[in-house]
Amino acid sequence: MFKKGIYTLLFGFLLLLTGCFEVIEEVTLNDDGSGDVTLTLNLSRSKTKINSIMLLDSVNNYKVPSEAEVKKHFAEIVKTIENTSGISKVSNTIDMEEFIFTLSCSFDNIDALNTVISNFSSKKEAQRIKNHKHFAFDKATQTFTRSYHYDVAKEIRNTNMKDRKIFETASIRSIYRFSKPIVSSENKMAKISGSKKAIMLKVTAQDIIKNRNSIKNKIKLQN
Amino acid sequence: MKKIFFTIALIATTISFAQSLESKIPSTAKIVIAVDGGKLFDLVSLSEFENYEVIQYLIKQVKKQREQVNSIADFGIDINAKAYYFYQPTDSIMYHSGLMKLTDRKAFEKMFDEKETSKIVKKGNINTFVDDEVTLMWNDNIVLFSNGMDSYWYFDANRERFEAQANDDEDFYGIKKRLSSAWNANYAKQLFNYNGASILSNQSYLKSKDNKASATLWIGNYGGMVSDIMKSSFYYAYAMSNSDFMNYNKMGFGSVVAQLYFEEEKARITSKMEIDDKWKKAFQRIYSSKLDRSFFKYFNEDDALAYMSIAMDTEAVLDEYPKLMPEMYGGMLPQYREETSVALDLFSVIVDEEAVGELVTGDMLFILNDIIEKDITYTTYEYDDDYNETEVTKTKKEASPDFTIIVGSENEKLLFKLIRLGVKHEAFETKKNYYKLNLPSKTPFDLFAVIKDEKIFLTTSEKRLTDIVSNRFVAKSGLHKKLIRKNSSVVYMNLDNLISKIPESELSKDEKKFAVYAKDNLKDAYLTGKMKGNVIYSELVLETAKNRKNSLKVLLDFLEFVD
Repeated sequence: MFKKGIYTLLFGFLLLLTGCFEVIEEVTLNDDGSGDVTLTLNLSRSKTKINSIMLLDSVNNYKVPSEAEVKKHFAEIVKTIENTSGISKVSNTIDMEEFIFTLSCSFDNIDALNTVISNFSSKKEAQRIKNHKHFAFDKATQTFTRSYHYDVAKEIRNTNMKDRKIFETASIRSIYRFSKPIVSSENKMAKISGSKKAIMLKVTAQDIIKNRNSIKNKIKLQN
Repeated sequence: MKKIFFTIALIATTISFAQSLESKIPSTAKIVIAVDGGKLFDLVSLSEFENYEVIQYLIKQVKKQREQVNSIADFGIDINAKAYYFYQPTDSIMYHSGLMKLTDRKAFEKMFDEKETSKIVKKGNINTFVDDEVTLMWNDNIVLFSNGMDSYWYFDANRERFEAQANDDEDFYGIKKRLSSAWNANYAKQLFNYNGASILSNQSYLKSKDNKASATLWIGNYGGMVSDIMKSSFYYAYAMSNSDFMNYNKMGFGSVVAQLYFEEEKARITSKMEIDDKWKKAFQRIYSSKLDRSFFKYFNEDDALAYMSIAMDTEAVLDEYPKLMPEMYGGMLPQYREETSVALDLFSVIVDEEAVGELVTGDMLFILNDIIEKDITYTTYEYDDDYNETEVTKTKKEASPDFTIIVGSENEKLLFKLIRLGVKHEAFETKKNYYKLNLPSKTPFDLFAVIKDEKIFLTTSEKRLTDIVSNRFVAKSGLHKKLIRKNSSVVYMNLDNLISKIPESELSKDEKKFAVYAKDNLKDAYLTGKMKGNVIYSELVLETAKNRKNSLKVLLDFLEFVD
């Protein structure tokens, strides 16, 4: 008990320090609406803290998963994605030293990505995703749309203060690549590359919580 | 109205009178809280108090409904007097009541809206307002409020009897609401005109009074109160066993008194808990020890951001707990009394109390010596003009704790045996004349150990350990030695130093603001515990900066800051 007390005291202290992570969403879209997507979760900046958490059974009343459980969970995610029609070449990487996790796949048409997201949502949410697409590409107008229907700010405000802390220094970055030049983008914070064929947008979790910005965007390509 | 009244009560109690109010509190009240408004407003003037954002916000909220309110004075309550809350339960209903003094009856009456005013019943000089849950009664000088919470269990157990009293098509909920409202109104009436034995005839309560305290909490019988709460929470189990279930009266705790003080350079909360005569000896045996003086040879108070000291007699703990447990758990779960007793007898047979007491004496000192900045590498990405990413390694500063743990032991022989076993199984690595622990590879610090002078030393600093081994350790303890030796346990934190050691990069924007204010305004904080006679004393002290007017102001300013 004594040892546990000391551990709790020490790691409790480490946990006081804020967390930090980044999410990167990369989509490469071909002319025919097919393409590749990679999602990266990089917790490397917080690795000391995660290493400490991994020594504990639970934190903020959440059970801390073991390395094996993390791997198992990922394998299940990959399996679900693989079973989605229109999706192929699903792969993932797990780096438990740096705590970097990636998931990538190819899609036949962009709507398959909405189906992937629906597969991880409740029935009610799945229906909403169907109506309000997270990814869309209109070939006629050559417009790529990234959206979502959740009120992320509200969802985060609904979490308790302790949990909310982990979002304090988090960020999300989206990079979309096209074969045609970009004509315009609605999200003013997004930056178009020199070649005009890529666009990057970095939003901090704080921006999203305070409703200052989001990763929503409408990108028009040259016809 | 209810909302407004509670807002006023909140303000008045955060801020409280003479014996005439106390004489209305029955001698059988289980809990009494007294808040001394005069004391608080001596420290922070009313105008200063009203300037705080949170108070302005509360006044504004009231003003939205009562236009005439611009200041706390407009509530008509005497904020310079003492205000009281007290609790009195019965089998069927729990009464939460409050008493405050009035300065301006008319202003107070203006707090009721038109509809509520029409419900006020006037009888002589006394006005009464009865709502479903709350009854308010007042005259020119005092106001009494009472809130009755019915006992679900009691009503459920006597359902048939109560259902027979239904009016027309009244449902059970309606019956409960009507009856408890009427009981509550009747209770308030009795209290308002009360001239029976008051709480002032209760010796334990009288003893608890301290004119210097800004607020006092008195619980007549802690065990009894916990039992009451348990009964009302676990009514089914209680009804089924209908016996000793959850009877914390047997837990051996008597009265509890907690007091809050705001002094010039510190704010303090003290508490006293009485222990039953039957248990007094056991608790005294466990908590009678003091940290052995030899520990101070390895303690340098200038090299401590925080520490925790515990002095407990391990042998007494192992000896007395098996005797206490059947009483404690037997009281909570009487159906398992025999099982608990057998399990603990078995424990006593297996464990050699004396031998364990020698191995770990119960003296322990944990010192947080420093927080050091370490360079940590991490992986991130950089992007070219076309947003192609390259993985890059960067470094950042991270805080890592530097600490020492010292545990007393009188059986070095056995410890060395254990260490040899540890070395064999590669849990330790032998250094020159000390050991390095083989911690999980990703632990953010190293740990070194040695057994010396009937103590186990564990520390993150190899230099400190070699100093201890070679008798080069520089000890310093004056004030803290006194504090540690006076108590059986101390948790101490040097707040300003501790906060300034945390690297800025690790703090969020709000935490940085907090850190700057805390560094300039807060000094040391400590929590102490000891037993004397049959009372367990504890005290939490927060020292504030010398250049500030008083600790209440520092804390109020602090709240403003965090907001």
